[in-house]
Amino acid sequence: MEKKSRYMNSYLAGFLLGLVLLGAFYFSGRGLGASGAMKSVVVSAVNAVAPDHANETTFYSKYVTGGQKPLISWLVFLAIGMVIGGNFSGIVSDRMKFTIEKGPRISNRTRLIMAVIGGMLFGIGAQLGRGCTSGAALSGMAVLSTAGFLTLIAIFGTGYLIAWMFKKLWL
Amino acid sequence: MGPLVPYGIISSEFDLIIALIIGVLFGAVLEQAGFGSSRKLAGVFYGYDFVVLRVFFTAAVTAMVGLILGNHFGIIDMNLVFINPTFLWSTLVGGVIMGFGFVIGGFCPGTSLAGAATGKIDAMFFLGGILLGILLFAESYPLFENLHNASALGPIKIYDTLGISQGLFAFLLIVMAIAAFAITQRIENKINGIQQVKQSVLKGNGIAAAVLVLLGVVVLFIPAERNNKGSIPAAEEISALLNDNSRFIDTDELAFKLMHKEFAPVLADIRTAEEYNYFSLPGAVHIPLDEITAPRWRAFFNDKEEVILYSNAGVLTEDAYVLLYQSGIKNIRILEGGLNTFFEQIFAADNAALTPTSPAYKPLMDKYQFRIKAAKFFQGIENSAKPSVVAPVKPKIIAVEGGC
Repeated sequence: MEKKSRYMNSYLAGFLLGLVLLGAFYFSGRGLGASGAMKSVVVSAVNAVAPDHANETTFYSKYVTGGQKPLISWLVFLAIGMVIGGNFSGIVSDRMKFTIEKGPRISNRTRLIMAVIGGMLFGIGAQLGRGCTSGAALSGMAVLSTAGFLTLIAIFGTGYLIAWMFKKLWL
Repeated sequence: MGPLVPYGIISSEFDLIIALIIGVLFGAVLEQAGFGSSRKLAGVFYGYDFVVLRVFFTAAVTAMVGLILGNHFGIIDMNLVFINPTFLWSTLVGGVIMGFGFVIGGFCPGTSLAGAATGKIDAMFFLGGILLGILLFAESYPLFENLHNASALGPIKIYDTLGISQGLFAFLLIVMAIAAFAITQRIENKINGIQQVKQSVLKGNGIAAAVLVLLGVVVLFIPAERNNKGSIPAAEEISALLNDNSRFIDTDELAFKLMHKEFAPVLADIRTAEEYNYFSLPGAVHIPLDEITAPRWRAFFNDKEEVILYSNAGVLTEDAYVLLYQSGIKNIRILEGGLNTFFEQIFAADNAALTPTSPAYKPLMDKYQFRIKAAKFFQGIENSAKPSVVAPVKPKIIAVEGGC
């Protein structure tokens, strides 16, 4: 209970997150997002390793043709900022620690394998669904886009439907 | 008037610095909320911790109310804000896959960044997984392509989809959020075996709920579109307007302006995107007729000394002229007879008939020589119908691309 109370009040945190989101809309005319930066990293890496392949493949070519630099983009700078901000916040609140968080019934190894699988699914889903929880769902809800609400319902609806299957991972 | 960067109030060079600052705040808030912890995040699916739901809904409602009020009071122009488009099937299937990813992996991309930044090794592995997943998607994109682009519905709004007003939807969302907060708090207390809730906490929650309901009532009465049209001129005024030939620019004046850099006109092509892409006059900005009075173009017109509109035959431009005039934009002229007349006159075979026979025809002689010159100048332009000689200028004011 002591440890838990060190986190910010959820409603206050939500309100502040809403203000940050408003700031993104007010200054840059766009919402927040996280998976977009990761796409840029993948595209840049492929382009560096196999430039011919990148230029010939439909998915990459639209980001690399004409000498575009996918890493010099709004979403990449946002993600860099997120790491800095998260790190700063962790230091201030004394939460910096190399740990693996998991349910009590699984090993670290299982947890890490599941983290990679979950990440892969999220990577695929976010590309297909044009955005993740922050870019498509949260930002989309704020501008009242249909896509935002559909993404929200699909992610969390699925989550609740399948949670029992993966109970062992967390409980 | 926001958004500041798309509007050109803040130079786009600063956009990346803004992104960095907003990112720092975003990351810090996520971490403070506890989103760096996969156990807290996964709690939302098992009922022992609903922090995700509370933070998520509060943030969405805060930003939604802020944007509705900001748009209404002219602080932010929603026409320039990116609205993520709906592709029905890819949105749903993508969401379902992400749902699996969330329960199995315990993070989403944004929260995994916050987790990794505070040393959570599971978050770092999750991040690695995302990169692998994107690589997999990219390499097998041809498999996904049809699904990815199926049923493109454009940037549609949820309240239109449901057939209710924006205000009513916003109000209902707020009520739903409050109900969800109350119910999930009960579930959470039960699962964690908390019997007694402090009186002060209940009181605080009550006040917060009351404030939210009040905001909901306010947005309930705000119409979706701010009416920013100027006063509408009377019919006589419009008819007088259309009898006034000073609204026209003729072939020779426009040709002269296009041929001499120092007189370079600001041109707006109001035809369809297809026609514009096939051929457009050098430097023309594409503003289709149906969005000519959209707020996003207002700054464009206001910035310029004069904007010359053109279409194919000059009929559409008359409509555009009246529409713009009604909305208070008057620094415009239209190309008389449109592009058809323009090129007909420039290349007219009977320019030869203008050959003067006596000194009385001096003005005609000048015109003749000018047209010969102009014909040579425009020969190149017309021959290279696609793309036009000078690449069309991209409008400076354009809503940003892509979200996440």
